Amino acid sequence: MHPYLPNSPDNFRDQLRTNADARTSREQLDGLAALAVHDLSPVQIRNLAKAVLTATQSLTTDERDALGFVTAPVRILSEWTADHLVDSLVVAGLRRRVLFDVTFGSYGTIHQALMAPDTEEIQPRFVIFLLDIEKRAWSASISGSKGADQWAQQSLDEIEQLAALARQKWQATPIFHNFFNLGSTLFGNQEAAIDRGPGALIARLNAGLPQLARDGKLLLWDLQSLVLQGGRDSVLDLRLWRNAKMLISPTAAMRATDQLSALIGASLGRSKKVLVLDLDNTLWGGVVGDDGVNGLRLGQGSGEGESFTAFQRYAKSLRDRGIILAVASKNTHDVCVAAIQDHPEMVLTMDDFSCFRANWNNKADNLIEIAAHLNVGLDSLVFFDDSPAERDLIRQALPMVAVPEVPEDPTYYIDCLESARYFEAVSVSSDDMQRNAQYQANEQRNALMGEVRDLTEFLRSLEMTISIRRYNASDLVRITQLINKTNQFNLTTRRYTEDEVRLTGENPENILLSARVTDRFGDNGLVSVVIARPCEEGKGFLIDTWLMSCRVLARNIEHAIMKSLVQLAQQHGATYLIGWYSPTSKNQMVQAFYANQGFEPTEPHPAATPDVQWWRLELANYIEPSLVAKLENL
Amino acid sequence: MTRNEILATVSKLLAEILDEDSVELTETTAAPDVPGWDSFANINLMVSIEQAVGVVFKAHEIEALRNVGDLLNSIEQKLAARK
Repeated sequence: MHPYLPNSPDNFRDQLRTNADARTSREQLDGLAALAVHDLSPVQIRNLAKAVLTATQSLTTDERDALGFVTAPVRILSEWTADHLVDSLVVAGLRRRVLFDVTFGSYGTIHQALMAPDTEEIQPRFVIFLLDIEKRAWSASISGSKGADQWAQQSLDEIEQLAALARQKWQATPIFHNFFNLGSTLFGNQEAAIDRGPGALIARLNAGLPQLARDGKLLLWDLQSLVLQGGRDSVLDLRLWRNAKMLISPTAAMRATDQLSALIGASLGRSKKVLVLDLDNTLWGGVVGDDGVNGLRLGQGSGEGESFTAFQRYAKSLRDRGIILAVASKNTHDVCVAAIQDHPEMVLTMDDFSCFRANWNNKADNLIEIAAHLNVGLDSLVFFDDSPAERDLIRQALPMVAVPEVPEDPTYYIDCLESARYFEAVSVSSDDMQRNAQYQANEQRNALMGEVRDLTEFLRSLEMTISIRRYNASDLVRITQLINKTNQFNLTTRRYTEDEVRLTGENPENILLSARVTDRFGDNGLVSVVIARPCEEGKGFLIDTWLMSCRVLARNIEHAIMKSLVQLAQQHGATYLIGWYSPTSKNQMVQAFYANQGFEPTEPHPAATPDVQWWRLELANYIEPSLVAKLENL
Repeated sequence: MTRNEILATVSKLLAEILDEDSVELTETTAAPDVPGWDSFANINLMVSIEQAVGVVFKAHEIEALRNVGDLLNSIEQKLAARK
């Protein structure tokens, strides 16, 4: 059922009960998250979801953030029964450290729910529309003179309108599922060609939805892919549809909501960044140390060899779309390098791996090193290894690393990795496609660093240009990405959806800055985002967000941005800046950020949580730093 | 499977669904007699029985069930027809 999840432990119920006695909220939530990454029965899902509610109901959003869990208020507007999806959505969210707060609009009245004043306290960030496929497809297609194209356009217009209403009302991101045939065509094979019948209409609708997603009108939940994988009856129990209006049967609820949670998780920056691969029996068949390079099973000649080739090709495609590849293998380093360089059927090359650890050390230590070397958190790693013992070791030692249950047959490696949706993307920015080139340029920069002694000398030799500009719609995707995935150089770790960023940026009273950095080794892309909002009727600005990608650490880029921010704040008529540092488990590196920028400690905001530090800069006292980069204000 | 074995299986499945250590069911127990046995729990129970015992209910059969006795009759008939 769940190709990527291990079976649930026999003593699941006992573990769940013991966990409730854990001393701290952190232990409790981490324990629940560890239980969630199993293939669970509906009953186990229900009880786990209950435990999550108990463990989190007294925690504020900030407290949850501090424990590494992001809160996602979700409103479901539905034309069919969906109450049974909530528990599995909560559990699926737990796997990505997302806490879903689910509320429902009244059943069957989507338009009313969007028009009427909201009685719920919680403002949703995501609105999930669940539409009655049967009503739309059947009542439309068989009657009247309109063809499928016209009917489909009418439905698509309605969907676009609903999406726009949700944005207006809540500034929330609308999510729509695509459609599947409940089981009947009118004309058979030629239905779509004849341009009549439910099959034709569904085909048109499903073709039109991606365009709306591309235009940023909505996020698409690909429900149809579940039907294509397992057949209609694997998703829908027709009896329960007729009897209880359940489009997704209880047995399919977990698979469906896991997909949905990956989608929402991705838009909150919870997708993984790095795929760490084992070598023997993972990228090729056989053990290179025993079988030799020529004895490896890879490539044409056997189904098994073809499967390993296909898996390598899949990994390479992931790399090409911006996922970082690394190797952690218990092996002799030179033997592995020789295999990768010399085997004629090898698809991946040494250049494809941003970090390569083939040695006899403990794999947990290797993973820690890989994360440190790539400057990412351990929770950004996916560890793919055919050995159950190594997987168990990592699950025990590093529970924040995602460890899919690799199948014994390599034929299904891709299915396993894909079904987990670790690398779910909401949209792809041009920065993603260039990422690996950027990491390679970083290696060259580091090499230069080795030659040059003095830091200023080094920075000068980079010949940097820093281009700072105010919000521009073309940067929206990348800005949102950075806001949601930057953990280390991030003063406040506030997460915003694409819609929230757009609204903030389009308001001329706010200052939303982004910075791009190029140097003699290449374009680093858009690497830093700052959001400042006016306070005290514009006398000052409150720095709500200040973050930077770790690719460009220690290059004094923040000094250049502060200079631009100070200038802009002055142009707005402000006389001071307020900044705050909100500590998390990952952002210690910016603890002294405001002190280094010449800010003075100040009284905390009345609503502030106690561990947050507040800082103030009188603009009149600002001392311009000397910059070793060319600064362009656009 | 004897009628008593079927009853024991159904009781065990329902207890799991309601997260109880056990539930006491008799021939005349009806859903409203058991706290938590609502329409959703009932759907889960039917799906669980289908998987555990290997029978398939027709939609109208589920709707016609009045109490545990009816449920046991239905399962027994299906098991007998299978042989």
